[in-house]
This record gives sequence, structure tokens and C-alpha cells, in this order.
Amino acid sequence: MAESRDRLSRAVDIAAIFAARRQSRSLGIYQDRPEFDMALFGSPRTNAAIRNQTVGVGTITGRGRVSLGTPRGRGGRTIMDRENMPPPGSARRGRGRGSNSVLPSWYPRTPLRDITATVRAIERRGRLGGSDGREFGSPMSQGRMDPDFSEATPVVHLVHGNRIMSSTPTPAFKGSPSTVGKVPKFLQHITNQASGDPESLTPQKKLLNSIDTVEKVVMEELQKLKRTPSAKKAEREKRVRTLMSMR
Amino acid sequence: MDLDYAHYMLTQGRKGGKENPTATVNSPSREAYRKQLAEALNLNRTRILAFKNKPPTPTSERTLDAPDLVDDFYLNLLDWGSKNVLAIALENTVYLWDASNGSTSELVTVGDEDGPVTSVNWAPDGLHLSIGLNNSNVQLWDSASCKQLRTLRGCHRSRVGSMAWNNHILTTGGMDGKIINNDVRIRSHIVETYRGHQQEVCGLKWSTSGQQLASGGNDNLIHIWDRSVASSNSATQWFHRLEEHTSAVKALAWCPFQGNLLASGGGGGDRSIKFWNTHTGACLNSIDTGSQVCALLWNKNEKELLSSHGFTQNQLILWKYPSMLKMAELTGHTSRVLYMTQSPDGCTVATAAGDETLRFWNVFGVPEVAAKAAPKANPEPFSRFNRIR
Repeated sequence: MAESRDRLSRAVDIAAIFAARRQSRSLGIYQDRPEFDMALFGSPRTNAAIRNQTVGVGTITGRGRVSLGTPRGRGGRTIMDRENMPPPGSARRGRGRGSNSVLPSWYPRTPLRDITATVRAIERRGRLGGSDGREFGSPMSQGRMDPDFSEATPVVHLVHGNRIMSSTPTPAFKGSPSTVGKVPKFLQHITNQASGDPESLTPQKKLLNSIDTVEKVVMEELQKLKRTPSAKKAEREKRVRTLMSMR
Repeated sequence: MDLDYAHYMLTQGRKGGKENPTATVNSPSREAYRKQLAEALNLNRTRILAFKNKPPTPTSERTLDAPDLVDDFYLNLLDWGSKNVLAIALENTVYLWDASNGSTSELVTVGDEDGPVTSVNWAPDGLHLSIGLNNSNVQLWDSASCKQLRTLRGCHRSRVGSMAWNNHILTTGGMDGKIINNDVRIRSHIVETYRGHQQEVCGLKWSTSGQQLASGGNDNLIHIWDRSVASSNSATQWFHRLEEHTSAVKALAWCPFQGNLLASGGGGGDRSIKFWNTHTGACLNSIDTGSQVCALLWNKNEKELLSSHGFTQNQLILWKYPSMLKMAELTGHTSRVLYMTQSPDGCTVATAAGDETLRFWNVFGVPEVAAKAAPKANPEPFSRFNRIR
């Protein structure tokens, strides 16, 4: 049992030590005692000084998510980082924004959260709607987005619904309001518009186009609702109330 | 009965029936030709084709988010322990993911001056986890109580990018090229130092017997260290030095069914998988894969090898051994598949890439089939049949 070299008397919790040792008995790992470490290696300041002295070429040189060892980027070609350099022929795919993630930048990231459905939707959308040049969720990045991404999930649900219904496009158009559940009247209106499309689009493309139009129309409707006289009155009442309370 | 032939005959017959009223009349020579062709194609009608498992699906089964995962070839940030808990390091933080219930917990976040985390490795008991840091320290953690047990200091001069456990010995490989055997039970933990690599040690694997250690470095070398042979006094400590790769060797995998067989994969300039007899040091086979090889895994139940790749296709390739035919090519990652590990039951493979996703692939079979196969005495059921997948 390691003993500290200073002469201060400390209360020793034998039960805790024993319990801790019993837990790692299978491996019998020697456990550090922090005060013992201090006595051996000196104060943390000198420890850090020693560490900084012995720092070699490969340790911390910069901050940032991908700077490790040698600085990343075009200026950092060394033999130590050889394997991280892409071969000269392959062009970067235009994701020079720093993050190579498949998820859009506004998507909230939680470590190890299940994003299977989201990634599949993005892949499918990229495959089908590539010619449109739409970035996923670009109609969504308006000011009214709340941090909680509950708006993203209806889009995903729509895509899912479309996948199931892509085999029977025409009758499914009428059935899709059940998945959205928000504004059934507009969907029927839009789908009637979309079915009059002269181009020979695949059913999936047609559905994706209709999703976009639906999004636009839904936004417009919500804006309209805001602008109705009753909504304006309610807003005015709220403002009056706050002002009165401040008197 | 040969079901394939029967199916073929039925469909051909139906097609013939449909065509007759509309298309040209089938001449007798055409019929005879078709019959001959059918026979030729079904030469092996008498052989029973037993399909053991369904072939692996080409898409990942599940995808988890892995924000801030460091996209560096030389690190080893993913490991799956024997208690079915997966450990992954996302920059400065190590997370544990329990595969049985899908729950996530954060084990530790190291400070900015110590991190990022450069390697994680589970001890054989699946409870203790070693974490290698950029500041050259190695932390040992108890995952059950989430307590840090000790810190191994002073062994390396720069980051610890690779680690491997052998019972109570934790072997660490550093950017300084040194390989150190640490006995975690005693206070002065350094029991042996293997010198041989001139550049970073990125691949480190103990053989299943624990007798030999394979190490791969950025200097394109593979060293085989044998515990009975290595001693600090001799000029060369290594048992074998394998120099045939022309790029960094990170992918190393010992064969589970043949004790002295090692598979290794070369980096971007080499792109090949080589097989070695580690007793003699001879290279048994070399296959060009076309992409940078980042990791290798053997199937514990079948004679198959899975390789994960980087530049430029970012795919996973399943090879049949020893014929080295491509059985499946799995795509999904949009960045180099740098980190790969397999579940303790040997059915699922987890991969993580710079696209900040952690994906799971049921490439080694479904768990129910593996569970059924496990109690059998011989490791290969249906061994008397010829198999295709």
C-alpha cells in the first residue's frame, strides 16, 4: 500500500480502497494514488514544464478539430502525415467547408445518436434530386427555425412515405395527406397541379417536386395565418399587456 | 432435385408459350440450341448448392452520429469490448455505447492540453479500457465504475496511436517509433521496449496465442516480435522484419483459424493486402485492392477477410480466403473508413470514418445463425458440400 511521504495524517477510507481494489482484481491493475504521484513527479507546474520540453515533432501544434500532429491542410505536407494526404489525382468533392459530414450544418449533433433514417433520406434525396441542385433543407433555413428540429422530421416522414408509395404513384397522391396530417386541402391542390406536368419524370422525382411545392405552400399558409386580423389582434393584446405590466 | 434447373425450365417454358403467338416461330434449331445452352449452363446439376447464410447486404444496417471524430489515418479510435460495449473517441471525449440496449454514456473528457484522444483499446476482460492521448500518456479506466485507475507516464515522447492488450500486458506504440510493454499490475510498468520502427507505429496486434506481436509503422515495415526470442541485449530484437509494403501499414489481422498466418494491408501508395507466415517470415500472397487499406478483420466463423479502405473509394470489401475473390463490396461511407472493429459474437462489424458516422454492417452473418453454429463441434457445418455465397 503506497504511503505518502509527508507527515500529515490523513483519514484513510479503508473500505473504499478495498472495494476499489476488489473491482479490478481480475486484472489487478495497480492504481495510482494522486498524492503519491505528486511527491514522485513534483508539482503539476514542473511536470508540465518537463512535458513541454520533451515534446517532439508530432504533438500539439494547433487547435481545431483536425489539427493533430502536423497542421492539416495544404501547407502541412510532411512525411509523417503521408497517409492523410489524398492522392494527387483525386479532386476534393467541393466540401471544403471543413466538415466532411453527410449531415447538413444546421442539424443538431449528438454523439452516437441513431441517424439511420436521416442519412438514408439524405442519400436517397441526393440520388434522385441531384439535377435540381437543392441542398437538403434549404427551404427550411429561414429565420423561423427553432433549435429543436421538429420541422425536419415531417420532411423525413414525407420521404419515407414516398418510398413506400413510389410503386403506385397516382392513387398514392391522394393518400399522402394522412402522413402529413397538417394541411390536407393544400396537398390535393398541389398534387393536381403536379400531375399536369408534361415532363416524363420518374414517380420519385414527381413526388420530390411535390414535396418542395408542399413545403412552399405550407410556409405561405402559415405566414398568411399570422397576418389575419385575429392573429394581429392577439399580438396587439399581448403587447399591450406587457406594456401595462411595466407601468 | 436441382431447384435451379427446375426453375429455369419452368420459366423458359412459359416464355416460349408467350412468344409463340406474337413473335417469330421458334425454329427447331433454335430450340435445340437453347436446350444445349441450358444443359451447358447447368453442368453441375447433380451438385447440391447449399446456401449457408444469405449474402451480406450492401448497405449498412445502422448509422450513428459521430461528431468531431478525428480524421487521421494513424489513430485507432474505435474498439468493441468483450462485454459488448463499444468505445469510441470523439476528439477529447471517450464515449461508451452499450450494444445490448443502445445506450450511450460519456466516460471521460480530457483537457485540451492532454488531448485529443489518439487510441482506445479494451482489455480482454471487457471491463477495463486503455486510452492513449496526444500528450503521450495512457490512461486506464474501469468502465463499470467509470473511474480512472492509473496513468502510464513517461513511456513515449509523443502521441500513443496504437495499443494492444495481452492479458495483463498493455503494449503501446507511439509516434516516436517505440513499442513498450507495460505490466499494468506493478508500479514501474515498463517491462520491455521494442525498438525497430523509425516512424510512427500505427498498427499493433498480438497473436491469438499471445506469443507473437505484429507491429506496422509509417516506415512501411512490419515487425514480428516473439516473446521467447526478444531480448534487449541483442542487436535486433525483432523476430522478423517484413519490408515488402511500400506504404504505411496500419491494417494487421491475425488469422483465427491458422495460428501463424498474418494479414497486412498497405496504405495509399501500396494498396495491397499481403499474407505472411510468421514462423518463417515468408510472404504467402499479395493482392492489389486498388485503394488505401485502413483496417482488416477476419471472420471468426468463416474463412473470410474484410478490408476497409480509404482513398479513393471508401469501401469495405469482403474477400473469400484463400481464393481472395471479392464476395461483396459495401459502400456507404463518404470518407475514408479509418476505424473498424467487430462485435464479440463476430457477426457485426462497426466502422467509423471521417464523414463523422459510425456504421454497423451485418457482414459476417446474422446472430441467430452464428448462435446455431456455435454449439457444433466442427467449426464448419455443411463442410461436405461445396458452397457459394
